[in-house]
Amino acid sequence: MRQYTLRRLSYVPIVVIAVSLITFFTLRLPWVTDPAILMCGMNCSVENEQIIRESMGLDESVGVQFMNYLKDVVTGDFGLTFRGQQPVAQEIINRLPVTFEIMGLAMFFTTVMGVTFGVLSAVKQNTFTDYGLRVFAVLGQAIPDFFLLVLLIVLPSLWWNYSPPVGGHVSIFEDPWTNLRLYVPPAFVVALSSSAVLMRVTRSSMLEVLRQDYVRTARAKGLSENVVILSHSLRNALVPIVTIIGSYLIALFFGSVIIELVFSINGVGQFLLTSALAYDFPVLQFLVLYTALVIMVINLAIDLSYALLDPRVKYR
Amino acid sequence: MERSNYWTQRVGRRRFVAGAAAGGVGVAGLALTGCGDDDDDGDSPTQPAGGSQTPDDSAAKDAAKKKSQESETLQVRHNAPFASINPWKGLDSGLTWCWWIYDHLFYTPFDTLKPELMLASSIEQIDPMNFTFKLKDSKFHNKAPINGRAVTALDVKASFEESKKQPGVSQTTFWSAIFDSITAPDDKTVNIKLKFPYGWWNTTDGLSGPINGSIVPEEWAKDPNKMDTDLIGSQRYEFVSHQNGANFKMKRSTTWRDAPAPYLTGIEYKLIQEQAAAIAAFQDGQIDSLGFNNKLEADQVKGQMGDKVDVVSEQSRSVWTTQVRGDGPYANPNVRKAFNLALDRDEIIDLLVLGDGVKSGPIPPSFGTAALTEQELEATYWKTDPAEAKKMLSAAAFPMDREIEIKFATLGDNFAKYAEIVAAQIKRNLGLNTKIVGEDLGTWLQQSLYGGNYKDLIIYPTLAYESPPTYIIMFTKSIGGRPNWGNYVNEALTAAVQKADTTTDDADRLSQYKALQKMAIEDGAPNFVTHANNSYTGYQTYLKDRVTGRGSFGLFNNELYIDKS
Repeated sequence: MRQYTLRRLSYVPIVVIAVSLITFFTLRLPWVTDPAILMCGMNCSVENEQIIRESMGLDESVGVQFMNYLKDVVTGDFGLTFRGQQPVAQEIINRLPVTFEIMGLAMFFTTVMGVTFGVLSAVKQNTFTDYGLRVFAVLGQAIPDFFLLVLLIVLPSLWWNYSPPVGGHVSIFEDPWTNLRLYVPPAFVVALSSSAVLMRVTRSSMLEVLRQDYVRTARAKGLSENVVILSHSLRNALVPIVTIIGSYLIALFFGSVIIELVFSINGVGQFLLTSALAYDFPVLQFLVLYTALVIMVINLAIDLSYALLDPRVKYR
Repeated sequence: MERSNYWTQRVGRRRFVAGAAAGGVGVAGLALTGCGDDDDDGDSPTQPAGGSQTPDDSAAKDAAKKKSQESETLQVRHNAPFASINPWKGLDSGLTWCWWIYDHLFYTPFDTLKPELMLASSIEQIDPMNFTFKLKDSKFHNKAPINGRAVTALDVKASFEESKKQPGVSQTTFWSAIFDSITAPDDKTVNIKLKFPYGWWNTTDGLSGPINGSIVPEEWAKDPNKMDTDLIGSQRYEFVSHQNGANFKMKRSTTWRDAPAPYLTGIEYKLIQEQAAAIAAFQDGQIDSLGFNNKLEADQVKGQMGDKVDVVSEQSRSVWTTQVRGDGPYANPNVRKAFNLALDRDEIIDLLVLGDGVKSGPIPPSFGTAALTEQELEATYWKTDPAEAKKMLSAAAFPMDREIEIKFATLGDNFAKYAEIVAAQIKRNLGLNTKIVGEDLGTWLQQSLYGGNYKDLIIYPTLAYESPPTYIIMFTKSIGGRPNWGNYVNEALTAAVQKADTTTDDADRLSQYKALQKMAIEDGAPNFVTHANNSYTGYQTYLKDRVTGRGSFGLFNNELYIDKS
């Protein structure tokens, strides 16, 4: 496994360089909007526009810009944001706790609901419980997240004049109640659709496992149903479940844009969106790079987890 | 009003909240002030909402003010995170802090066009180009490293000189071409010299510009990056904190010169991007004022909240514009006029905002004396006459097989809707085929609008400017140092604008402004203003002594207090 891990890690620099190249040059294609003009605006003279362009380093040739960029990245300097002239890395680090909390909570609800409902549905196959949970799964997948998130704001407001807290992030250590009021409802709503998918995968995976001979053997040995389901069946059904969870973790990273926007949470998703709209190249370059790394790490973790979950899986 | 990256700042919200673009200057805090006409209480524009009081009322009011000062915080919405809190690095931050945190020498409300003194205790106009300002005793906020020291003339000098050099501050023509120099002969005197006479020197297009006119400590003016992390001014409120460019907190300054005001403990700006979330927060009392998208929305909230809310209707100073080119087949004034004759402004208002707007001339009607009257516009600018328009096109040999392309920015429903209405009217009234082309903000702004890269028409709402010149600059051959966007060149009109701008007599200048609007109409100047929407703002009724309908002037009203008793 160590060899396999090292081999996978050896791909990282190649991917990083490829992603950097693609991002960097795509943003500088001739028809892409010049951020200096967006910064400058209506009353801006051509001279002032050039000053802004120079301050962004966009007056150099693309090749020189790329070399400067690489040099900076290697030394851990990701540059300054175009819009606010603040260090990019610091701006993102400041926003990570909020985004991680949303992702963590959403992942928690997704896993708990998806796996629990999936197991229940499989165990109670073709009963009302199963039918009810399958209806939930279909609805969860069919209704878009953003619509549910807006309903989450509108309906309590109409019925009880209630609004989720506004005014920014409140640390769970300072004020747990406000923190949970702020983050739990949107994370739960977003988890509905992902848990629906996870539930379906868990259900089908469990149904397959429950028909296996060793499950019948376990029951014949007189093991309790809980032990049969949780220890013998669920563990063997986990491989596809873990794959889905991993892919949802990646999707949530981008899905946080919608949660953050609807709930006015100033996290990484929000930052990515506003930076994209303002053609803030350094932020976009950093976030694409960062996302690529996160995806590689998550994928590696998923692959390695297969060996832990299923002794038959060997990595060479 | 300065307006550099306005569109950039707005897009975050506009992409996701379909709404009227005619919404003030893009900083939610301004919602509290209103940006148009007088409020609906019927008070005079110079008085806060309220009315006359008996001595008993007065004592109760004083008690309520004191209580408000000790425990009440004004809660305001803002729509999008700021890229930086530094007022010299972002239009949004500059416009937000400019009246709460930073002092100005004076301010001129758009309704009176008469200066109201702020840091200046007197203004002496020595000749058309030289001014002397005496300063009041005032102190900066009591925070390190400035530690509440007195504001001096050197601070004013440094602020004006350094802000003028900042690429991140939008430099109006006044600051880039008219402002000449500033000297500080002593701590309490500032002399300002202009390069040539400028009649609008006292407006937001001149010395009372919200950002360039903001007075920061000299040390910080010379090292502006210090404003990336903290803000120190000499206005009524002191900056406390922010969360990554959002959710700002301010507290009452202990060094404010006009004690006991202000009557609030502080101000909190809360980031709320979705309108549905803002309405919910307003109903829940988490914010104290809210701009509505339209009357229907305002009525619904009023219906739910009843007496707890005051809804104030104002006429926006943001005007919707259809702009043709000034060259090619449009070089003939009669062609341009024909396109204006094809526009049915009443229908546009009906279809776009369900009749809830007013037709406008080049300068919006809310400017009163500077705007043309209905009588002056009805028979000319606002006239819809398809038959006459077709005749004019035919006489000008306009190619009737030309497909008319109408460009708009995909910034919300109203942009597309307005473009569709104009396209339909041109097709119906001129018999020309039309095509509407939506573009992303960057392309539209950079290439189509500022770069003048549109084939036939481009549509947009202007910003809600606080003085008339910016509406008129569109008629000149150069806009902000760039060629006229539609390549429209009328030397006589450009000269008339320059002459009017250098006229120092207010009445004469206003009369010239009316005359040059008529000149522009007569020449079919290519930007046809169609209308201004009505805007609606809700205020919790516990907000007392609001000043509305006076543009930014309401922001530095000292009287606002909260009485929840």
